[in-house]
Amino acid sequence: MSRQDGAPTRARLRNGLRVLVIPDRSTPIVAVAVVYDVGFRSEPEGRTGFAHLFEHLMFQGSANVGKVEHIQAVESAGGVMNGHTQSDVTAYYEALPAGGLELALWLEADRMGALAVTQDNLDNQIAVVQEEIKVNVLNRPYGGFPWIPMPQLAFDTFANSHNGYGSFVDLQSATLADAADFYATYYSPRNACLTIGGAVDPDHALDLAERHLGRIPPRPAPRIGPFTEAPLSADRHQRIDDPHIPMPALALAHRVPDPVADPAALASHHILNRILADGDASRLRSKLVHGTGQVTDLGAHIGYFGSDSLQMRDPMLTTITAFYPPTTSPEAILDAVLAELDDLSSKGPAEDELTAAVTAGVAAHHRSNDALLGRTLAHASTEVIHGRAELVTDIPTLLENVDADAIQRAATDLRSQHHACLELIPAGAQ
Amino acid sequence: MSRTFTASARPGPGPLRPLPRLSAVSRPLDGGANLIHVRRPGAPIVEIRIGLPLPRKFIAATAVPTVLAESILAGTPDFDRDELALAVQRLGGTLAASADSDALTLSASVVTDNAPALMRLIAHVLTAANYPGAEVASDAQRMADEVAMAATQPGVIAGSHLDALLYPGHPYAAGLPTPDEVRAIRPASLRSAHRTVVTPAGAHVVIVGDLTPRRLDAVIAELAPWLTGTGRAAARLAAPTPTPGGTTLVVDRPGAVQSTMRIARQTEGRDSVKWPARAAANLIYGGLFTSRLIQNLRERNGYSYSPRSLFTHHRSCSQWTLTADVASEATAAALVEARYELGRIVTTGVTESELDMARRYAIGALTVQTATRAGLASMLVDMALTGLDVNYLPRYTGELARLTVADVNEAAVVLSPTSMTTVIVGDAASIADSLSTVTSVTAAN
Repeated sequence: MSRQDGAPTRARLRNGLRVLVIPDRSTPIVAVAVVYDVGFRSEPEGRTGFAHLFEHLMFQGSANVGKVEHIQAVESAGGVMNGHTQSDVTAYYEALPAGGLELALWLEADRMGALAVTQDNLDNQIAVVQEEIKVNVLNRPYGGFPWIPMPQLAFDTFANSHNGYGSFVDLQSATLADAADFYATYYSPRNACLTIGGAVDPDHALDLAERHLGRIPPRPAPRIGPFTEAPLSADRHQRIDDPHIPMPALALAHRVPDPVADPAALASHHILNRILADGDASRLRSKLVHGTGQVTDLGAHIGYFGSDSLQMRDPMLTTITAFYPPTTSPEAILDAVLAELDDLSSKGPAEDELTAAVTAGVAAHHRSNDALLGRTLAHASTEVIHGRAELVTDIPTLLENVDADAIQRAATDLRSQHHACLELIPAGAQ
Repeated sequence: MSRTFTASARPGPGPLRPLPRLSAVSRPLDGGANLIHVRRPGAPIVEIRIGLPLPRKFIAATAVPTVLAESILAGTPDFDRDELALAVQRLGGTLAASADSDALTLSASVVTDNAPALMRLIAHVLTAANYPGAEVASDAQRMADEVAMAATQPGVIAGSHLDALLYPGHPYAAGLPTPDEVRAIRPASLRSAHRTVVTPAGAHVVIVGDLTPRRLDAVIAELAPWLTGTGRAAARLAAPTPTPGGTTLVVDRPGAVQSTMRIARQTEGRDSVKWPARAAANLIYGGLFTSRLIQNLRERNGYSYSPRSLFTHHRSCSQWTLTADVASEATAAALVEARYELGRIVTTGVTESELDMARRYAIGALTVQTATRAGLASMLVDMALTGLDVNYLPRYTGELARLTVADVNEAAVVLSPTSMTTVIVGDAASIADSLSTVTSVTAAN
């Protein structure tokens, strides 16, 4: 077992904050991640995009830290930092040379305990978020595809279907009172997990965490979700005409089982996706990309962005996305994908393709686990969603346990559901 | 929002530590290749990069390298594409090829125990890739479509026009190939290109992982079938003649909701004595989040989400670029502010505290970046392909630690606004008039 997979040391502070410490003495850096159990599924109607906007506000100053001084302090300690908002978690994280640990904890404590938002900073960040949406979505061909339009098709409740980036109208309606309310409700220490990784001594790190974050007064934990909704009762198809794209694209989505209740099934669906679409020998790439040339590029992912399946609760989608030349009909691609799923459902995978997919999955886990910051963040998010950070180190075992029967069950599960299919067609095409 | 929460005094940033010693080993291999190895314990993964410098004709004409990178894994006499991909996956490995303007690079990773077996496959591809006709036709068609897709991205459009303005008459002006050029590529030209490019002469082989000397030798031994021959190392091109600054080109993209702005110039490379001071000046101007550019364009004015400036490095020169995607209606104002900040740093210099932060960030960020095998391997092959030896990193961070404000102020003249070329891709109907009030504008054809 690799030295980096040290078992976490755990604590729970009096104010309810969960703390994990995962030492790794092979590195000269430390990573600090704070994950709050709130994402865009929790934002209210009329305030689409608010959770992400609020993430921006968390960098705009707190009682003892001026606007952008958080980032300035981390950078001057030689560190890198960022945050992200997803459907069920919002994460804040930094990696610095080891001497910066106490500073990082002090900064996280100040914004968890005493965030200070001004009208000017709120107005400024609303403008910044709008530019972010433009550069990532509106000004770029295929921007936001499929993660923005697919939930709108595949789900019916506001929580699961709305656009997490937000509409400009909703963003511009956000007020200081909204921010104060959101902070009080969702940014309680009881609703968060702090994880410290890297060049640390666990006792010393816990002591620093207690000293800085233990001061934060307790507040109640919010009720989160549940966001479950009934599966589709019929296939859904939607065609979107887009004047900005040079060639068509397609996305096909199904539900995966509840990832918290059944992580083993989640592992099966990950391996199924590798058999279908990972690498040139995969079924769909081999047949559709290199074989017939009907598809230019394709991929399969679980969750919104592919890297978040352990950071999400039910309901969650597995999506195949394809970009293809106008000479191909979207029906042909859909039929080909469903035919592969039918084949895997009735016959299961060949032994060598299963072995290759599992080996690739385990190797990919080790590669992504190599980065201290990503690994620390994964532990914090998994603790919040699954209640068990150790699940991260269980991943290789879960993947290795996926056998032919498990793949058959996963493919059968998909084929026994109704699906949602989005077509993006260049405007003016037939 | 304030609560009954009192913080203690803010802790300091901790001591500034130099980059940990890399213990990188560099030695020549047979056939004219060079090995760079760093032993790195920890995760059970070995990262491999093989950097192959491109000769002049494939820097000037990019269609061949574009398809070469796709088709090099399309088959050998012993494996078709699927069989090769499956063989790599079964080892717990990955293998991919990519091309940029200066080099073709093979990137691979594998679980440590299987490193010799993966290297055996790599050597086989390097010696025996045979570019089957049907695969090449399909790859060329697909890459033509990908190029067509890329060419609709505003950042790519801006980059193409910028290259043409910065490097006229030099191969670096080539930019993306056209879809037709890519579609026209045939196996014969790829096989010929393979003989020229995929030679050990001048190649850089980077291996990062937990390998003892004996296990490293076992891995290198598998490469032996390729480490032969009498190929010629691709010569480094002469640096382009620098373009005088002053052009502002507007490229029309009707209906664009943002303007995609690039301000850039050619510079000397990282082997210049002025490089560390220039790097610090850039961080202070637009490389740090708390830099002048970001504080102005994003945090004060809300014109842009992601303005930043950076140096990028060709083999024969480097380039400084400011990139900013700004709200269409703020285009002229953002240009004024970006140029104002350039003029300000050149004329009034930097402060001690800005330099201190830049220095700490540069050293710390390198420490973080080189902490993973993949990050370190990619950095080492990039360094080698641009002519830097393995001791560059500790040398660079040592010089950063010794920089003074006077050094940085002297080097900051590289950011002179009059030396810059500007390209703005946006909705000309809505931005051209206001831009003309603050700068003289040339319209792209």
